[in-house]
Amino acid sequence: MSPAVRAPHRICHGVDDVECEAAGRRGSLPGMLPGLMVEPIHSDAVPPLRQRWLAAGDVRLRLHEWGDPEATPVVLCHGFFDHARGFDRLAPRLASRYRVVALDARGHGDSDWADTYMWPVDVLDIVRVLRDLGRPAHLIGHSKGGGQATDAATLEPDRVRGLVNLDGFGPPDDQGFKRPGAPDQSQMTIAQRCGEYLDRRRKADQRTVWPAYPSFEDLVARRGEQNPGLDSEWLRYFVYHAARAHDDGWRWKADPQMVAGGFGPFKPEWIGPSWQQLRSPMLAVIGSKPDTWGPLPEKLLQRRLKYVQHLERVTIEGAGHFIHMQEPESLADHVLEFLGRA
Amino acid sequence: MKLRHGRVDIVLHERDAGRSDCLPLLLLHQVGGSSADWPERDESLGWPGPVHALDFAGHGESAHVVGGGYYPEYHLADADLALEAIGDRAAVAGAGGGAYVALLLAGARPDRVPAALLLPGRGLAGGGDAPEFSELDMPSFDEWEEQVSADARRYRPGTDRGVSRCERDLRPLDYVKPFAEASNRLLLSRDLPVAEAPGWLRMAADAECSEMAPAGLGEGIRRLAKRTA
Repeated sequence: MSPAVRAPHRICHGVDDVECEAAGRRGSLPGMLPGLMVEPIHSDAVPPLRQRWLAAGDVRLRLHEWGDPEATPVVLCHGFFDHARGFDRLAPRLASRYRVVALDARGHGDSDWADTYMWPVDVLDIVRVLRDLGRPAHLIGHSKGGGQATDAATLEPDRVRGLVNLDGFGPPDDQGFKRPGAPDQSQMTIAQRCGEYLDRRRKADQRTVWPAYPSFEDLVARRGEQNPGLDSEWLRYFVYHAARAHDDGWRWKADPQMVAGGFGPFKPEWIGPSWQQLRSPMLAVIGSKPDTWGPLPEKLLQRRLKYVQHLERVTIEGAGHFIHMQEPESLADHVLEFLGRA
Repeated sequence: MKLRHGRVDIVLHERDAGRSDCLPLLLLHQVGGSSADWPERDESLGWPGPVHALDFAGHGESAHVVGGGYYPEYHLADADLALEAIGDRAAVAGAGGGAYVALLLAGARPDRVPAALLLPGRGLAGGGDAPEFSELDMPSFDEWEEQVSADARRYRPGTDRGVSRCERDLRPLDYVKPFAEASNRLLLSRDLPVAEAPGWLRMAADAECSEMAPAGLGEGIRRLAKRTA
């Protein structure tokens, strides 16, 4: 299936005045240089047709839309350190039938930065989008966005029809996902780990602005190291929308404060039981190729999904964790078929 | 003194210079309160060394957190920055939600906090020992708004209503226990309702390093001074 609409290729950086002002206010960033490079195009990606702001208290969320505004809405929620434009290959494939609304989570993409980040606040942001749409919607989330979309559906059963969770079933039970090179904390007590969290917070005031990468290509190379499964054409497209050009180089849009992280009593084993109130049917999607961020071992995955009352599962061949970026065509076929029944 | 926590300016007040050869005391107020909750030295605070009172983010003269994502461990990091600013070694006294933060700080920084005094106040209970999966542990959007509005009416003027989250955070026993066990000394004021107390406080009371302190703020502080002399 080919994307329904192709938008004209926009020249240069898609930053409007309001966004510049937001970046300046939130991050005290130096002024941006317009027109540094031509926006990359991707043979299979379609930029959103409409963009708008949604207020969430004193933070503004950026929404990106495709498809007929009168059609049944589908809300897309991205993962940690990603952004809504990562759906530029999946969204147009759904837009033939639906009004597709992709949300930049707070601190990500073109949404405002907050001063702190916590899971329930992100979930309430998704609820705000659902309420704003004013009619029941389908909900699709990837990774962290998949877990948060599932929580939002659990919280607001009357506003959510079908739910598609793209490899967003939480971290392993013990220490969470391990980044290569991350220190081993398995022998530490929770109080000792908390001491390390406090050390990170002490340094957090030095991380209010990213160091600038000298060139766009450096940024692409950096993300490529973390995501070897993404092809170079897509990486350039995806990274372009994940960053902004400044007078001294390129910086990620995502808030560097998120790196310092949070701390709290949450346990991954709570995830499964917390979904027993979920009423929406869930299509649980994983990729066939394991990478750093997923999928969970099958036994653990089954434990996480044990309480979901209406569950369907599918494994997308050839995809790793970033299913919607790696195999959008095959994923869209499954999603459209599922949502047609949900 | 202004401290920077990420992008948020928080304010630490020096209440009394005290004797510079004595250990400083760091005061942590209740949820919805401020450093102004604490009496002046000559009223009842008999601490020999310097006394510092923090305004947690969203409270008193400290800035509000953009986006409203308050949680106890964020306030814990507020307190840890204050600890660093006063020489990285201090006794801590906390009231209500501030008492919970004082316990976490004593357990996470045992090399820097020789003792903590836990006092009653708003936010003492927290949101329970474990999530209740039969009903979601997170209130719905509308319930949340209602709760926050009700809480905010009891706060000092100028408090960010979002701090209300710190009255309903989960405080599981197996989470709290390692903090209590790692602490050097925990003093629990007799004013605390330990018998009908939330689990986390009973857990703290059961720790080997715990002892009861006399009722009343001044008496409690005097005991704290004695134990850290």
